[in-house]
Amino acid sequence: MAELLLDSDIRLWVFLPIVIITFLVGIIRHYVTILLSSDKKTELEQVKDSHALIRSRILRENGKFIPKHSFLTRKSFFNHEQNGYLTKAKTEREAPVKNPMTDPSMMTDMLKGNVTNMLPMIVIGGWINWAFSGFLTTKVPFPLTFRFKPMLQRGVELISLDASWVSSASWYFLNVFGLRSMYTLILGQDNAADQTKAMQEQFSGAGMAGPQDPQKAFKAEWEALEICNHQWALQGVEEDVTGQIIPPETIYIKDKFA
Amino acid sequence: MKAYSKLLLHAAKYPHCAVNGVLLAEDSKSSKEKKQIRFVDCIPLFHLSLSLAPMLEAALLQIDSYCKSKGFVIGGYYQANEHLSDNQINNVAKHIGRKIQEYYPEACVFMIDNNRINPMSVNEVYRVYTLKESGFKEAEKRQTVDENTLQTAAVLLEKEQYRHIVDFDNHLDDVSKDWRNTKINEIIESCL
Amino acid sequence: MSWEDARDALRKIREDQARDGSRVIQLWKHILANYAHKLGDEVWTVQEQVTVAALDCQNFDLANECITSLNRKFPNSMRVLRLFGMYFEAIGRYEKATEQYTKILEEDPTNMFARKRQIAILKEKNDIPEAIEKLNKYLEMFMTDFDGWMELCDLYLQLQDYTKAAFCLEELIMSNPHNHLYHQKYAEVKYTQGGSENLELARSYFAQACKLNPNNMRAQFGLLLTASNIATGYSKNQKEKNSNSKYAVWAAEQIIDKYQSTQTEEQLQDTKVLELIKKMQENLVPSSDS
Repeated sequence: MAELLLDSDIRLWVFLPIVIITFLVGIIRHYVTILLSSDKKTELEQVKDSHALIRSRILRENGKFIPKHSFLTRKSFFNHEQNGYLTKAKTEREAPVKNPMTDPSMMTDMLKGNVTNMLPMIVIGGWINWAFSGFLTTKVPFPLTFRFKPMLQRGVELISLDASWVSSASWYFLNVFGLRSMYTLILGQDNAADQTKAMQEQFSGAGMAGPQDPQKAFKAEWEALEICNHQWALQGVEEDVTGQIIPPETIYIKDKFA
Repeated sequence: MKAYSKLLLHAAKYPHCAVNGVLLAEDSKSSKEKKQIRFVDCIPLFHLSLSLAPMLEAALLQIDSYCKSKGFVIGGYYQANEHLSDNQINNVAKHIGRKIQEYYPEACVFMIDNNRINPMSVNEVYRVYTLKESGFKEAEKRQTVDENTLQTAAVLLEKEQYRHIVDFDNHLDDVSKDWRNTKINEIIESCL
Repeated sequence: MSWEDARDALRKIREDQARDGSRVIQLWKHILANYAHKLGDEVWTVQEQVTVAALDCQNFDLANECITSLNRKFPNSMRVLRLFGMYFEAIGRYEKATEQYTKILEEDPTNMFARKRQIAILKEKNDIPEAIEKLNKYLEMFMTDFDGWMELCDLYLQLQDYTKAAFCLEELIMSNPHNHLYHQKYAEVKYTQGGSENLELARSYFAQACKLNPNNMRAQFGLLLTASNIATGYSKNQKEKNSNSKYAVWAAEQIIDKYQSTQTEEQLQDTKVLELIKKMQENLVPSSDS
């Protein structure tokens, strides 16, 4: 395709303004999110549960460093038929239904998320499309296939035009994703202007503290601990340290029924 | 003189911990009079965990062999509790006191009064306990240190010499540190 | 000393969590008070550090100053409230301090700092059993707070309750199984408890500590003592006695090596350490052919 020469006015009045607008909107979004965000109040019960789950996991992973009877004491603390912490937890914890429609706080959070992230994008995208339509804005430096044309060349219905030439709307979208690293530089990590994280969270489900998760988590932990065996890691360590040969009885014959 | 100063410096070095140590006395088996025990030196022991046995045993073994070579005996034990106003003799001190007494019947236990550790104190900073049949009882007030000693100790405290004193815990962390504290001994001599 | 050096020194003290109150105050007074504006946002963390140091040294005016300026900058902050509480604790007004902490807990029941300060107040009043009870309840809720377990272990050791102290240390070992200090402390507690089973456990843990850090002198000494004790007192048969003697001899050799390489001739002569260790070795292998 022949080289097209674009009017330098396009550069001045379209190219740069789109960059600046995207950037400024991002920063404004960041500060608005901070203003609107409510403190996450953690429940005591939740904290207690999470600590207990962590402790049980540590017991499973590192229990081999403590003597056998200590390990069994703790295992029974968690998994005892009647009084074990995990046994009680997996049956007694109610599953709070965190259906977005019924739980008001969840609803407000979702609404806020939508307002601050999606709404501006749609509004501004639409405005740019309306205001800057009908001409080409720029050329992307890499060659694109034919399939990209309808996506990137809204408003410019030329069949023979090279797909690398894009319109302002697509330039706007490119900016939104491209300026992410700029935001990290200026606003520090974890900034609210970073939309991709927000989108990922939406797609990956209801986030970390899911509704039935406590019960499921407890059940999973209980099962894992049940099948966990104790293999004392310090067996034969004296011989190991003093550089002698470890007698086979200490490490090779283990009790099969722990 | 050396004994008292080092005792004080050790307690001052770790104001937030309990500290303990032993006092060395001249072996009085040779002398006929047994009325006075003369403490010649003091070895600060621990500031971390006072009630744990193995390090205590290792330390006492080492000090024992050092004493034998110099003609001293372990004549006393001192302890300063962690809490500012806790000046009571506790189980750890009683236990160790008993052990020391097995080897040297005249041994005493010195419980340091934490409130009195400052350069302005005019009296000695500890209370003396001896073992009777019924347990440890506070001994009658006796003058154990003279004016000179108190003054020297005060001067050392002010000069912040306690930063340099080495106890057995420091020695175990870094074997090159000398628990005989020869440098401090020299400074004390020079103050006289 | 330039202000950058002073700032770096303060940072290091913060990171090491060392407790050197007078040094911090010296650095602050002479150097940083004049250059506070150069620290930027770090000045608030530094002020918090200086407050705690001032309370440690009973310098109440300085502490008051810092807390007031922090309060002006961050009104209604939990961290400032906690500093207020510590200030009241330091001047001895425990009821006011408890008031502050209850206020924090009402707003945020999961605030671990406030709970820990409440336990600290009990410790200050020297009410150890009550402190232990409260700490136990705290740990029931926040099971993975390892500083808490460490503190509970020390409290039990003060009361000489070795079994419970051992329990706390087990938690700590599990949290950080490659930390030789936990193994060594656990071994010490087991040794103090005594009894042949405990001594064997102690021996294993001392050996593990030696394995994790060959420079740990306490572990070496511990291994030597436990092995010799078992060999001379508690071993059930000749084979066990022999193996224990071997461990003890090995430990003794390590210790001798270490001493010879770090101490001067004069020191060694005077303290007679080497003779002691050699004598112990001889006691252990009276009839073996070496």
